[in-house]
Amino acid sequence: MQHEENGSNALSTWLIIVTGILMMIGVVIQASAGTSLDHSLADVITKDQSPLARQWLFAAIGFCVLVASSYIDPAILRWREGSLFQPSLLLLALAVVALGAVWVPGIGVIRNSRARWIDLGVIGFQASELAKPAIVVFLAAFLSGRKTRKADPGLWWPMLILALLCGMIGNEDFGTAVLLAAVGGSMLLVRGIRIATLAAWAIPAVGAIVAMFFTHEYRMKRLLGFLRIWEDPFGKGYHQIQSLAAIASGGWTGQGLGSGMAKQGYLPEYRTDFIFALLCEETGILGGGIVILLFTAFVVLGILAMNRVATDDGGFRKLFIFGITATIAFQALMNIAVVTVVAPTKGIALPFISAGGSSLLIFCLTVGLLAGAVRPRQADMTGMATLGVSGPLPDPAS
Amino acid sequence: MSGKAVAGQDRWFNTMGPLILVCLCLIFCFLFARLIHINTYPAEKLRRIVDRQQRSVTPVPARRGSVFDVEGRLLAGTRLRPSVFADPSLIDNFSETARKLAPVLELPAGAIEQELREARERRSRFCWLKRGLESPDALAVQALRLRGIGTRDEPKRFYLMGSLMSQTLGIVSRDGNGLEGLEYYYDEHLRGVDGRRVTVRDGSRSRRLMRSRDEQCVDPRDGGHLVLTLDSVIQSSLEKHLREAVLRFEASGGVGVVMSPHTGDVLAMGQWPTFDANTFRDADASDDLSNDASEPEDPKEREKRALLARRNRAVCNAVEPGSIFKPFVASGALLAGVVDLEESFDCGRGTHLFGRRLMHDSHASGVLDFNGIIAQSSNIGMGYLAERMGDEAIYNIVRSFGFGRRTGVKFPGEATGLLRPLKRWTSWSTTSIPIGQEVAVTPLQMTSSFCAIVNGGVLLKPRLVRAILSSDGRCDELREGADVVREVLSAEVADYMREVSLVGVVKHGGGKTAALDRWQVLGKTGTAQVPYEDAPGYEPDMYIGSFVGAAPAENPVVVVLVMIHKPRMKLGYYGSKVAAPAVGRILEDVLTYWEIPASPNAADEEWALDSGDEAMADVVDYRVESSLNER
Repeated sequence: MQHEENGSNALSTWLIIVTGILMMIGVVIQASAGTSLDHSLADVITKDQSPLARQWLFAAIGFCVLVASSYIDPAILRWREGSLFQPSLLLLALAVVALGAVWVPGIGVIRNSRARWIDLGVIGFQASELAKPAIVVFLAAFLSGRKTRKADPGLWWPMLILALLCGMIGNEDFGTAVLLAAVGGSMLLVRGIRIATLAAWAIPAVGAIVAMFFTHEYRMKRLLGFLRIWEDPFGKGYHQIQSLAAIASGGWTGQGLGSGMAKQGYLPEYRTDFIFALLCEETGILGGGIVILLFTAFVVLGILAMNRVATDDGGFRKLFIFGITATIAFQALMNIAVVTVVAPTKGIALPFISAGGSSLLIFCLTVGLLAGAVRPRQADMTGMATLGVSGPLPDPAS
Repeated sequence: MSGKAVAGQDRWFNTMGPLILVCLCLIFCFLFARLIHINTYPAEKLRRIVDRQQRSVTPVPARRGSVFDVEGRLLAGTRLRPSVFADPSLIDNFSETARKLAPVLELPAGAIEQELREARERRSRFCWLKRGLESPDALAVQALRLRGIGTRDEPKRFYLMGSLMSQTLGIVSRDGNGLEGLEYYYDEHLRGVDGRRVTVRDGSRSRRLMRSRDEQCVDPRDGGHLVLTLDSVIQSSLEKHLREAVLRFEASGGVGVVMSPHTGDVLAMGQWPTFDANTFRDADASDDLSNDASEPEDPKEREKRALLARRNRAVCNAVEPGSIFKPFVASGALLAGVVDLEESFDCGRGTHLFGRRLMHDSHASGVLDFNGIIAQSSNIGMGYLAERMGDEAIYNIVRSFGFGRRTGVKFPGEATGLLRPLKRWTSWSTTSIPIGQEVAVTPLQMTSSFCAIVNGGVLLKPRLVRAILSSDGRCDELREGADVVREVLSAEVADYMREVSLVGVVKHGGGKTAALDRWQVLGKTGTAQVPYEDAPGYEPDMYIGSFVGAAPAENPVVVVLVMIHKPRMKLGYYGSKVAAPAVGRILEDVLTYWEIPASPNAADEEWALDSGDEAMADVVDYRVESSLNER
């Protein structure tokens, strides 16, 4: 038991290290992306008017959040049988309110002609960022209270909520909706939803997606553009070709940090959605490979954590780890697939590396909780006993 | 709810959860493979795109080499001149930009605006507005600080002697390509190799230059220089006298060549009307011409005339030579030994029937010996000689003199001339060719062949370039000595032709008007009819009066040919009248310039011929217009 506890401790440390390295790479590449004709690297570091300063600040705060939250057991969010206070439902409600607030004048901010942002004064807040952990926590909590693989009418509820949330987001942010559907769908799958039930839901979902493509012309164009980028290299195919060109001009070891040309007005969205292309241009296949390797390592750590985590909570922590790992893996995959033009452009950021404060902080918090789930703890050390969430819990099923 | 079910559910979870995550890891591997794939398979195409959009290649023009005359005087040089260009995509308000530029560029604002609009319509990001400005004007343009307007130094060709030998030098396009003449022929040597500067641009609208890619930059290699055999002093004498003759006789034009008979070096080569290569786009053949002073309104006609003035007629145009051709066939008769110098030919009646052809002399000459035939330029006498020689001998000697093939002078577009092969000769050819009909020769052919008579019988290849210098002035190639083509005449025949027969033309015949006080001149007159360009037969009242001469007779150092095209008939058209005086004056200029000692005695018995009292009397006053006419 002692040995296993050390292993679990090491696991949470490794999760923090891998995440920290990814964040460091993010800060460095953001610094490089900030250099341009008008700013040298020294300017970018010293002058605080550049968006880089915010990136440094958020990375620093994010890392603190990451370490701090790794001492919190996410089991506090689990389903409380017979209680009216359900933290997972509260979180979900908060996410829904945030998504609705996007449309409220004075709070919602329209960027890139799409209403995705909430202005909270200090930081711009992308509402869908909150929806991702909210749905993971909700599903983990809801499903960990259930015991059977057999057809459970209760599974209709999380399905419905997932579909509603995806619908709310999907109208404005198709990529995130797909991500949520993928994460939520796989969580339901591993928790034993019947394929037939999933398929029954898939039909209206596919119908909704098709309808969305026909009502939103730009999405149609994106999809077609992805398939035939060379037909219109300066129009529909511009993003993708510039992305590919940046990657191709990197070669094995890249052009050197700061020397990339894609950021000099060629590659749009180079700080956010296409940061990976910039990374590959400046650090080559080597740099891109390291990032991919780190994400893979993160997933592997997630799998190990799932095997190590205590199962005294009806599987909440396990499902939570699965959900968070899947969220980050799916998001990274989707982003890199878009950048390398194996998927249509969606507007999905690369976790920990793309610019963006709210996204980084939320990721840090969730990964911290993930690390916290595997951290071995004794009831007297955590001081969580009063909350009734730490230590061996009575099996809610029994 | 049974524990079994829970266990089953856990088993499912413990299998499916990692399985899904492992699948995601596999997709990561696939994306890594895709990363390598992008860097290998479509990489070249993508890098070309990157190159095309990021690389900016600015040519760094090489400095075109200079052209010097034989004495090292600069004829053509290159200076850097600023030119103004525009990038229409950066200009928001065309009319305002045009309005501001107009006074500085001295162009109408509308024209500038039009230029900008056209450039934008063809989606070009570059157009010239005005090239070859004076430096202060360029500074004024820069001072306006207009967006999208810039200046760039460009090499511009200058011809320091203006129109002098412009047809020989040729012209250069504004982009520095040799288009005509020696500028074209030696273009590769003169132009050098342009360098290039490679810089990287950003993707913003203004396409700012970022940094130089030094490893891709190439320094320009400046062009080499040329030293011509031409001498601008002699050239200016030739052009001056050509011009005077053309204007005096209201001719359509004149062509002249001056050559050194011992080296084959062309000392001068020119024509009138001419043009100034500095302003060649305005060149107009009717310049200064009194007989055709009206400005042609039709731009096509103007262009045609400009082309005519630019064409080097001494090399590129062949004409029927007329009597000037006679010495070549006559020397062939001497060489073949078919004529006895003491022999007399009856040319007295002025007409004679050769076969079915009735030949005319312009006047009855009586009984003539060999020298008399040449001096009096008797067609009938030449007919006698030709009959004795036979077609083959005539053909061979004419061919041997280099007629009917190119001289091989290093100049673009040399004309071959015309000499029909023997099997295509008609019964008339035997008598036509010896008097310079049915053949066409270029003035350069004529001069170099005449050199072969006066230099002792050796045909030399004419040359225009004396030395080829590298860009730093080192001599790459020096042309010394003479390029011998072949020995045409024996020294005896050549010396006799020079010392006796052709001197006789000047002493007693039609060439008196070319005679000089201090030096004995020799030569031959010619007056040819002008054939229709596109029809058989000759244009009525259209002649080419020509004279080819050399001096001093004891050892000629210079040969001069002058041809006057289509002089006004009532003012005179015989070669002796329109061309010989010009040749005389050019010879005098050259001999004076070179400080050649005077001939022992121009009127010495040694040079005299016993060819009749009338002729002897003329020697006394050789400047009087000849009463003798040829052909």
